[in-house]
Amino acid sequence: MADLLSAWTLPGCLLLLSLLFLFSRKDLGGAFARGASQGLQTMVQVLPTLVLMLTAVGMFTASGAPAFLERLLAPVLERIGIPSALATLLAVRPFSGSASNGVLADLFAGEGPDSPAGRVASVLAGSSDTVFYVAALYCSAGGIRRSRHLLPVACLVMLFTVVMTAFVCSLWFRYAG
Amino acid sequence: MSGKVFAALCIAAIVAALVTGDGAALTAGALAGAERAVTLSLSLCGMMCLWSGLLEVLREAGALDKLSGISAGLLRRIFPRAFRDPKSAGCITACICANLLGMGNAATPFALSAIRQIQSTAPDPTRAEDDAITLTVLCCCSLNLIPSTLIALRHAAGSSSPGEILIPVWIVSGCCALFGILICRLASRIGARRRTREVSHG
Repeated sequence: MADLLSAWTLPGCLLLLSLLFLFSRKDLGGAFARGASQGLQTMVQVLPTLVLMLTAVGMFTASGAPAFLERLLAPVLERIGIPSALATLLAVRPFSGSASNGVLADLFAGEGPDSPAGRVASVLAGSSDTVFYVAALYCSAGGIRRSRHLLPVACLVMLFTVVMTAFVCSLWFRYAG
Repeated sequence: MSGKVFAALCIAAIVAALVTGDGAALTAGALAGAERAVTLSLSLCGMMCLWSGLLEVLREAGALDKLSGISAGLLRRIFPRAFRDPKSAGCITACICANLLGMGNAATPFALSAIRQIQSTAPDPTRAEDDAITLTVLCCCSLNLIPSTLIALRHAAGSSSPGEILIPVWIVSGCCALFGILICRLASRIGARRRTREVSHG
């Protein structure tokens, strides 16, 4: 059911677009062109930031840094009830979507997707996003130089996500799972 | 801001590589990252044009106003200043809908349009608006009704029930979104109070 919805969202939107093109009296072709060229402009503005961020993220994930972060995080995670196998995921998640998907896949291969670690990892991955990448991307698209409380709040929310995941998982998978 | 994040990541990476003594991996990682940026931009470009075009068509056809009307009650409380401008309201609504519909990366163009629109009506476009910050923080909470990538990964790994994590994910995402909105409100209120104090003292 869930797969069906995700599979048909894009065709659904294109169908909507087709219907609007066919039945509206306004110049929607011109509107599309205007919107698309604005999208292109945004991309041009965003590309330099993208190169900067992904180069840094590539370096970061290829160096031993996530492993160090993992060693730092493991004792803290044990305290709040998150399996230590998730430390790598946590270290990588705020920085790179593809890297964290890779880590998640490795974790599933190692521990199994239905193991306690696999479930907690899934919930964590499903409730968080690549904070630094998203923040940098959005700021560059908006021409923002001073991001004010954006990064501190985003990091705080990330922390909250971790704690909340531990809490909800411990309750959910004990009583309902 | 991205300069600082870049610097932090780079320095951390270099320090770690110095410790492990593997500089080649660093170079390979940096080059792979830069290459990925280009391939990502190309695919993002296509989506960006498609969805931005769609957004403009929806706005021109009046569909966006109707959509905004439905969810406006809730969203206006979250983005008070941005919702005074109908264009921003439409973009934000489209962004939230796209995220909820699980469009994942395809929702990025909507978010970028929304941020651009909010900042364009701001008194100082280089200074992040409260609502732009709130929207960004919300997007970092991964507001998905159906996290398709996650379910696909679980299914591929042989999970007996890939969708069993859906409800916990909804609960956690929901709580985090609420938390994010509240903290953003708090932060902007503290900032506003500090500014008025500076003005009255200075």
